[in-house]
Amino acid sequence: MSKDTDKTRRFILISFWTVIILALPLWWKTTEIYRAQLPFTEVEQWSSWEVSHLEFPTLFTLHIASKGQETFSFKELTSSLQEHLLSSFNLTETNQTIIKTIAQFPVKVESRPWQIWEESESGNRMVWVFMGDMDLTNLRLDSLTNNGHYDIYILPRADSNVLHVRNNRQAILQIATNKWNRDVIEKILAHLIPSFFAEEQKTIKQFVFESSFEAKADDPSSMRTLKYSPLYQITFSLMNGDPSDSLVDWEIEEAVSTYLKPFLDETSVVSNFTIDSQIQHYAALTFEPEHKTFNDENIDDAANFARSYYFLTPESLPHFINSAEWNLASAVSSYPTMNFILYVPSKKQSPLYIHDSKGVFTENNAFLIPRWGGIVISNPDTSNGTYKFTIEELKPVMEIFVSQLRGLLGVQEFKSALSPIQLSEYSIEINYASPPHTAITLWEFDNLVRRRIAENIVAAVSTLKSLSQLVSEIPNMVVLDHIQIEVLNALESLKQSCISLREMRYDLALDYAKQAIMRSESAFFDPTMVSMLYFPDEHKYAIYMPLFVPISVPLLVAVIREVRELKARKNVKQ
Amino acid sequence: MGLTYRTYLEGSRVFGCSKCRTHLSTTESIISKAFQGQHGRAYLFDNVVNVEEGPSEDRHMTTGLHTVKDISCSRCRAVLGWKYEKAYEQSQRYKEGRYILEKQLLCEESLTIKPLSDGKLLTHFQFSIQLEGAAREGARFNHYNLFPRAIGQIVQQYSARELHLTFTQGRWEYEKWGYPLSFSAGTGVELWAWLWKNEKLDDNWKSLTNALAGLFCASLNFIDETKTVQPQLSFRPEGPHNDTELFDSAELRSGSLPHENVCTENLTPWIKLLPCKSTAGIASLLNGHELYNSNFHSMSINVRPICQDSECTHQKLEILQTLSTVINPVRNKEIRGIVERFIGFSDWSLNELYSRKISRACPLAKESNLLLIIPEEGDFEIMPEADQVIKGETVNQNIAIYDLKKDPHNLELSMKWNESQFTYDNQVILPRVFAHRYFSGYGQERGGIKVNIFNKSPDLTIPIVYYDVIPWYLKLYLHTLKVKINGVEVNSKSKDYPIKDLYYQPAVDRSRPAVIEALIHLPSNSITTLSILFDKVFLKYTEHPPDPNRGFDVGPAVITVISSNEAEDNQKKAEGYGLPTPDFSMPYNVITLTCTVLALFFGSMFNLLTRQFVGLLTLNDEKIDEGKQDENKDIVDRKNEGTEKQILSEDK
Repeated sequence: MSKDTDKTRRFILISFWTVIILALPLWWKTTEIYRAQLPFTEVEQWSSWEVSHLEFPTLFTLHIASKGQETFSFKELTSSLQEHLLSSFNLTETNQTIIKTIAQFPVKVESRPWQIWEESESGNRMVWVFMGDMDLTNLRLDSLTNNGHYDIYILPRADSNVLHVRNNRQAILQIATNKWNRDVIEKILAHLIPSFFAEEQKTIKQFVFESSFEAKADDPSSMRTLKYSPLYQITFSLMNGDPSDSLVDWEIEEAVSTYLKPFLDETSVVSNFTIDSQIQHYAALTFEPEHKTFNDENIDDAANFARSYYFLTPESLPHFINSAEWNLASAVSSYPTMNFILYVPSKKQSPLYIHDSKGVFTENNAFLIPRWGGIVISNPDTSNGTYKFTIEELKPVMEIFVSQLRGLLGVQEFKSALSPIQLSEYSIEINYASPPHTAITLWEFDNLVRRRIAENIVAAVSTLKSLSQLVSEIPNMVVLDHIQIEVLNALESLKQSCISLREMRYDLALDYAKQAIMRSESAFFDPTMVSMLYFPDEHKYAIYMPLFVPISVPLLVAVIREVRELKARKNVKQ
Repeated sequence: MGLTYRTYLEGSRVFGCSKCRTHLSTTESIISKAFQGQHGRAYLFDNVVNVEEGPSEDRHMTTGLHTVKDISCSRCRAVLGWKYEKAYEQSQRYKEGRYILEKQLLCEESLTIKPLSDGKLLTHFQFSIQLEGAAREGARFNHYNLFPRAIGQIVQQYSARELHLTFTQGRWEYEKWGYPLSFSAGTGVELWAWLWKNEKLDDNWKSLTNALAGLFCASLNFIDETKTVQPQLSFRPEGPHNDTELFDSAELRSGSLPHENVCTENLTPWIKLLPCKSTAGIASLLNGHELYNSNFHSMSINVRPICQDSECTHQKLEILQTLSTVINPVRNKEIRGIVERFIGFSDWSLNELYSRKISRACPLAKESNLLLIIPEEGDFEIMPEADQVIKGETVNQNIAIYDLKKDPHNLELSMKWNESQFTYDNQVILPRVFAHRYFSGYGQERGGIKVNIFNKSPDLTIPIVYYDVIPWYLKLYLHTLKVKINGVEVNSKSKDYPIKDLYYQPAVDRSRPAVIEALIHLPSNSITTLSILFDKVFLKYTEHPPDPNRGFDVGPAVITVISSNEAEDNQKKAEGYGLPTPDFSMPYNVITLTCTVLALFFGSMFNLLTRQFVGLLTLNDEKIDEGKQDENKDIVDRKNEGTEKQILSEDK
């Protein structure tokens, strides 16, 4: 009988414990915070660039003028040039071997003969058509190349070496006839080609460097450029200091469509733009500009007064924008805004000029605020109470705005990239084609595309890295399924982008890079990620404590007692 | 028809046709500037030239029935206004044979000051800016001059046809002050908009509230679906419209936040929308400190399309910004102790009211006027002399006009009363229609709403639309709706039943409010009483606001008086209402209590299952419990072993 009851008692005790032990995982599961599994390892691999590296391939087609038979071996030229370029392209100034492997710039050179003679009018004799100082600017050459593929036309010239950089992906190199041999051509090209891309490579490496080592470099040009966004808002504001002096108006709509539209259409592959404009009156400055007076005894007081002017110093420029009073923000959109302001000072503060740090007038009376916009100060003659900026008068203003816009978008001046090139042995004169009406050459456009690809890929990777860090550091964070999907899609887009880059399909790579950045940011900034506390663990324990403690006490006591009894019985048996 | 000759006028200022600049009249012929046309301000002229008259027709206007003829420009045929042929009310006879020309201005500002019968002072600022060619659906307009860009962007982005936003603090006292100068609104924030119909309409409304919330630093984003309604009869567009076209192309959304406080952070962005901001013109008076030290304050933004020609083929977008305050100079003086007791209490000057001065007119405004509505009786003195005095809407009313464009420098308007003591006027003239709304009932469970609507007109039956939005947490019972006229209940089947049309939308918990809209014909000289009962809902604890014991605000009801030509809006106060409030520490208490009960239950059950309870063994027991000897022996045995045992109590 006693054996029986003991058994049943133990059986009951064991079944209680079994139920509790079986129920514990269920309880744990049901009160758990939902966290979709994120691909942490893959993100980690990306952020250390183990999965893939950035490759920006370029292809040069050399069109070498020839008279039927080659004067020297083209094949030898291309192979030795390619070797030369590969080494110099991947030379980094920072000497960071890691970066060297992350961002690579493979280059390929091919050559073909260029039949540039034609029949002379007199008879069947062939002549060099482009010998001498012939006008090359209007020469029509077929151009069907894509981003990354450039044509260089090489032909002899009577006396000196000249390089003509055109607005499309072409350059014409003229080499003096007395130096027309493989050695010279190779040397010149080996110096010229890397210098086309030196700036760009530096920037791209900078991006990678900053993201991998979380270091910030003090590069003014990178600080100027706005962060990538698929859409930018451009706002033109005419700021009138005091409308009681003069009422101003402008023909901005016509000016925008004439001077700015071509540029925006060209760059719309990279980002889209919305444009609006406004006129703000009573746009006073928050500070008093400095006054410069003259005391020349040779002329009378009135003339002295007429010469006096107000000026802004470089120190006062950061305080120029009165963002509290000037309605510059947009109420409807959260995309980044670029502001371009044409400022007409009030009568008592005009004329208003800008001094540079040496106290000399700046050339355009304009300045740029990095990542914000540009400002032009104009001192029109407002003596008759009204003034209207006509489309012609807006032309110089819009030119400044466009150049400021180029800076804000990160378009690198191609001319400045080449100007310091001076070969020791051979002097080369460099000519540029007159700037196109779109205000951006294909060389610059390609540069912009590659730069934005690099920037987007690097930014997407670092966003994903921050996301995975955040999720792993805060265990109470809810991670829903759609976050996981976004992250996986972003990784896929990154992969596709890198593959397209390697295949030199830059347009496709840009599309994928855009998708990657948008997906990674939509995952990072998802509103469900913000509400951190669904039910933090402390709360969970606090709530279940009043249940668990009183239940577990009798259970534990019963177990202890049972164990003690077993021991006692063993002792008795012995 | 013979040749039409055009006359050319000479005068200090010539009024011309807005389209073709044909001369029409001069400032000398103006009788009154205080008229309301179909689309904005209108002037009454003695004589007008170069116009053609249309056929005569009868029209009901705010001031009664008139026979009028439309007049149009003889050159470009644009409709300019109308001519009064016959007025049926004696007081309006002076208009006969006179002309109304409607004003078309791109930018204007005006300040109207009206001393009220109880010694208070109504000041009404009005700014109007018009924008050409942006009033149509889908119109894209990106280049702004005077029209505020922020509002233009919002209207375009969220495809709004009309937009009305009002911030109000305090209550407009209809019985003392008469009707307000602009459409009034209840306390708090009220927003209504006609949006162009498209598949994104509801998203647009949501985004619209969010954008306005950001722009005006107000909690407009809390107008969610539980506060959004689509009124069927009220809130007709102010701009030109015909009903079939309107309902095909646009939908109305409306919402209000009665609990919203209005403060300087709402005023600052409002001022920033003005072309001259608060630097010049009448807006330079806008001193937040003084504006909010008032009995009533209402600030609004109205964006609406207006017609440019008679066929309305060309429309402009107009933004009308108004700000009304009712200031109490009597009380302000008492507080400041400026004057000796009982003397000159209702005297005022602009500088005293706002602690600021108008230095000059806004140079961007085409017209900048200060209007003072001169009281009909009383002994007073106005300084300085007005540029012009014109007739108001009634015979005895005169309006003094100060043209700020003409005499811009330091206008210091003041008014002095030659009276030893200020006496409150007990004999106020009541407006024709006004109303009171009450909550009835007591306790935590049920309540009721009661509305008294007064019609003071001696011989007119006045049709009105009563509109009331009741939040879902008050559950209305439509069958309890009762109507009384002068205290006598009227059966819904009787022909005197005043409700001619009733639209009722029942509430859905947590998703939409209840809406009552009723077309009521108010009998002449009567009090109509509507009453309806409701249940109060016990809310979930997360649904209570941070200050639950303060109660919940119920938005104001709106009464729209329908006349054939125009509508008067008459809005009533917001009410506070208390709902049953729970103890907010309850959830945790409940959890703890439940857990304790469960643990107790578990503990005793567990003990019952694992222990055996046995009576103590005595000699008597032994004899009685003969049958249980085996077991007892067992216990004794065990006791002998020296271990205490708990034995399962088995069923025997």
